[in-house]
Amino acid sequence: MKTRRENNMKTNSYLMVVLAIALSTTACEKGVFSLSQDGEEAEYQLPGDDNDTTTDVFGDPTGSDEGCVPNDRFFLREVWTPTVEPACAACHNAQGQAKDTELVLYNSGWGNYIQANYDVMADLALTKRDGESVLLLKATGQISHEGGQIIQEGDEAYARIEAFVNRVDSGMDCGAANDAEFYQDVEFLDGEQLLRKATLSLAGRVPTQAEYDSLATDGIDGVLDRVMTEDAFKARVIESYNDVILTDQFNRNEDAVDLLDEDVFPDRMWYDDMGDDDARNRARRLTNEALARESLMIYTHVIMNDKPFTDVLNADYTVVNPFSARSYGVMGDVTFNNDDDPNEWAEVQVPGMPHAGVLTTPVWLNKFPTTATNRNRSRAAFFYLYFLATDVLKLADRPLDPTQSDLSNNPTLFDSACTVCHNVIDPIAGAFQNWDDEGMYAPRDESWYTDMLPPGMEGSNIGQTENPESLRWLAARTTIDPRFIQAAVHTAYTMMTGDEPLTAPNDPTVASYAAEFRAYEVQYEFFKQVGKKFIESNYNFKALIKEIVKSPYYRAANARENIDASRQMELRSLGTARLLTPEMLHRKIVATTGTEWNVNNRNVLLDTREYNLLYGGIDSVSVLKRMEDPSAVASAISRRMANEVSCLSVPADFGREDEKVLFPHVTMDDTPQSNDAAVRENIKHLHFQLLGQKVEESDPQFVETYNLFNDVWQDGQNNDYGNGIPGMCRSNGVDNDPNYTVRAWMATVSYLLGSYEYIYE
Amino acid sequence: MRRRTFLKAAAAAGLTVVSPIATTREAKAQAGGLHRGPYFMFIQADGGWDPTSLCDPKGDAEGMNRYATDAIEMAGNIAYAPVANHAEFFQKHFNRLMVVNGIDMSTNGHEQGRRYTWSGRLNEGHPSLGAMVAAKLGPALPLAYITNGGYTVTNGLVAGTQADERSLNAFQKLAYTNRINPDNEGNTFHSEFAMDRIRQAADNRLSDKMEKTKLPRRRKAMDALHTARLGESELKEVLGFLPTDLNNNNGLVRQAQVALAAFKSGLGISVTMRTGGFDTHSDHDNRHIPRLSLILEALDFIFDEAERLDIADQVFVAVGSDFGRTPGYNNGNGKDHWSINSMMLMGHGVPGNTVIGASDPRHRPLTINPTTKALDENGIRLRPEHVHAAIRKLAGIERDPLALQFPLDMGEDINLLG
Repeated sequence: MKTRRENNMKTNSYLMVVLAIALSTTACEKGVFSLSQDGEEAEYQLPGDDNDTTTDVFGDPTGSDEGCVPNDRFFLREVWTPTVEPACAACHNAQGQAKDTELVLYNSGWGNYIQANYDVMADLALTKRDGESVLLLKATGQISHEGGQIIQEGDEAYARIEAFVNRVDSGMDCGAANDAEFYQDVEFLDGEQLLRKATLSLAGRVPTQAEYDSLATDGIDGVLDRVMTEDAFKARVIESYNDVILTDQFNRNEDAVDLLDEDVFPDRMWYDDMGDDDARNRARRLTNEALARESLMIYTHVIMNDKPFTDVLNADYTVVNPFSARSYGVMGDVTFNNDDDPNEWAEVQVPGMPHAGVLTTPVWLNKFPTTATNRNRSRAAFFYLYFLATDVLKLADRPLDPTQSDLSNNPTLFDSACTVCHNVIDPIAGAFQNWDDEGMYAPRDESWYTDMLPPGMEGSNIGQTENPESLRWLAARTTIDPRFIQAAVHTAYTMMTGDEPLTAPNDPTVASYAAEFRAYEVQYEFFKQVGKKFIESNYNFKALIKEIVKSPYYRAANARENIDASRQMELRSLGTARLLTPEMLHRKIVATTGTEWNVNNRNVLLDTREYNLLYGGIDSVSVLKRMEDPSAVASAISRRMANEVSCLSVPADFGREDEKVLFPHVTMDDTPQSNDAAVRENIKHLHFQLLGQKVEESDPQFVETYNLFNDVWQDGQNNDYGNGIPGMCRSNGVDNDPNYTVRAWMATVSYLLGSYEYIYE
Repeated sequence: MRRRTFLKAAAAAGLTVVSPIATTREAKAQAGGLHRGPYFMFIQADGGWDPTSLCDPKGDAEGMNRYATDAIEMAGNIAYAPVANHAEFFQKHFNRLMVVNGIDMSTNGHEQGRRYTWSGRLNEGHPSLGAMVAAKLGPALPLAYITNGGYTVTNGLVAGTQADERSLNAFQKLAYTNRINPDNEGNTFHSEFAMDRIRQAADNRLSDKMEKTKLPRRRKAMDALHTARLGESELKEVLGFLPTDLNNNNGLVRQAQVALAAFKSGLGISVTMRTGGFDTHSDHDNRHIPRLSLILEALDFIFDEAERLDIADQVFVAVGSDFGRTPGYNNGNGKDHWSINSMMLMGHGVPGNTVIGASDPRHRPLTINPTTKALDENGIRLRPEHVHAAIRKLAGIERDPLALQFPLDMGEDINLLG
């Protein structure tokens, strides 16, 4: 173990490095840690703030010029990062030498650790001795401090903490920072482009002309409110939340049905007595799917019905469709319009079950199984991760050492190397006590283990009378915690951008530190403001989606000029660049071409026996993360998609009797010689239909596409390829192509379908 | 895309920060060579395996195992647990096997342990060893890094490809994207002229887009797409080596078959494979030891198949897990999490019949002399970083800028494979 002197030396060295960087950096005008004691600088403004000076109907994504520095942002930039984290956190943490003091700081594993540390520090700042803040007195060693003198009056660190104390003393704060300057060289999508992007992402279709037209009157919020009532959005929610909780693991065979205890739910396999094989197999499949998706359907039910998102935990019901209702034996307690419709879902209370939203669903509980020795700790750790944005396993700064633990003296209760995590998770593990290792509600005959902390949450214990409904107690506590909001915001952000939230950089000696920090603090502010909007909307998840859609992160399209390495690091989260998931690509193909990519009656993008997993899909069992960058195999899939879908869609569209999706301006007889104007008009249409681009004939992109069409068509005139269209491509009576136009259009459509703009979001 | 065009586009926007290995990728792609070894296979026993039931046997002396301590068997210098079919494996392969015992994982968390074992860093931030090796030795190859589970983080260095038995049918169609039926050369979607023209226009379009795009996230995505397209046309090379019979009940064997075919074709460099079921908090022996047998069966297959393909001397295999399991049994006859671990290294570059490191009878780590590698109470503890340093050296990347981006915090290097 290091001596205090060694610790101090290390701290001082660290401070010198930080200070040197702070004073020398040119990455931003005021340096990374601009000392701002008065807090009045008009430097930050949240994107999309209510006070925006809007430049169009969607609001200026960079915000207005007004702003100030909120307390937590000031703390993050001026106090925590340059001073407190390097100088104090090594001892003042849950397993450090100062773990039993009033100042126990959280690391970045804790959900809202900046605000939590601010609160702890502020309490100490307000504690006075002879009119002086205890915080300063301790740090300067003027009163008893085990760590001795850490800072001295007149130095940089002292000035920072003094400024913090003054700020807390004055009670000043302001609503939001002004980050407009951060986006000064960024170009954004215009309104129509944004609507197309969001509608494709959320509902898997292109906007209608009426929707484009209504932007001016309803704004994008109004249009998206309608888009998010569609079934396709429901599918998007299910996919997005399954990416998080992965309960589709049970959506195969009878895996979900098998989770129900036959003694408790004797009708779980109600379909077994059906005489007709096909009907029985269908009922079995749909029942298992309904039970497997129970947790996801609670999310969906809450979101689609504009209920407060807090209901995902607080709901005193579950949701069933006619198939799962029979398994639970609750058909008599719920009314369906159609008892055979798997898409009809309803709230229901299963008799005897103290529901607590997704927490009490068998699939959620079985996704995180427990054992006699695990005692629900795994459930507690994932509960923290999903609902409190807290990674418990990151809370320990010091690694485990089995040779240092006294295994005979219950280390999870008494060894600080263990209690740093166990003090957090064990009470919540206890809150799960009434649900057994098979996920069934089974209150214990005996009391909870006495060699663990009692059931509860972060210092609050569950009372005896509340014990049978312990998860309801936990849900109520959790949903009023700011970290619950943070978790929802982060999920919505990843859902829309395909990107993970940034984490605070931790090495000030690397060259990119200043830029990384700047990016982090701006995003931190953004999430905080989105969270406020979430609360104002009464926890409506769709409000989160809309705020993110309107944000610079989603709307950024390019930078106005070349940007240097530091600026690239600052802007690395801006502008989505997600390879479409197989599910999203499937929906886009249908929406833009009117055709599904089916081969031999299988949708090859959705079927795991075909391309689904190779193109970055997940199976929720062994493949749990989506592919970020395309492999050569994925690239080949997109190439084959372009070829096959052009084959399936082009002749079909020419043969369509109703309104044509791809070729409204040309017929099969129109060639560059006979009707060049129509050809050109249709190329413009294809650019808009497939890529959302409005191109002029002088645009190089138009020229490239036109030349491709013309070259292939000319080649068809110069060679004898015959009249026949490939057999697989023949559709709607279009079998022959005497002018070689259909095949030239197939090449053109294939080219556009394979482009970056099509396969990426 | 023509490579010169790409380089021009890349230079125009300065990809140095966005994609630090762009030039490396280009250099390899321009060289156009297939990879001829060494090949790297990383097998993850998911859930935390029990070394005392495998290669760090203790027996029943202190209640550690159910088998007798004096029944522990030796294969050359390597002790192994006398259970299941272990003898068959160890007696056959001990000359190509190194066991590393007493590895201090410093964690009991699954995710952390998995990450530490395969990235060499307890905290987040490092890519998997498989990704790093593939990124250095041939990132533009279409199957450079096969990811069939386990820790597969790439940090954007190389694109991972899932390639197991489920991929076989797809490979035929993907090797010939313009053929309607992959077996029929003459039955195509587009004429040869049209297909070439499509590719040309697509390359021009991507190149043009890259020149105009300045946001780093988009530039990085376009770079990744460009790299993927470089390898796309080479997929057909693997077809001749893919097995037709993939019916083995052992999933690891099936994964290995495809990976070895990729290696033989020259298109693959590394693979991560995973098999689960090791988190046996109850009924440990009955549930855990059969899972260990599946791994040993797969290892046996790998070297037999590599011999058949004539690449055995180039195949390196590392087997590891999240962490070990507690000394002795809990009330449910299970074993819980324990932060002391072992790894098994085999094949290319591995001095066989060797055991490095050890643990005491209660499976606490013993220290070794970093120079002699003998047990030494004043020595150092073995950590995953030491294993990673050795494998990086074996791959010839230990001083490469790519590897230096991800330093190993291990103090003294013990030259494990030296």
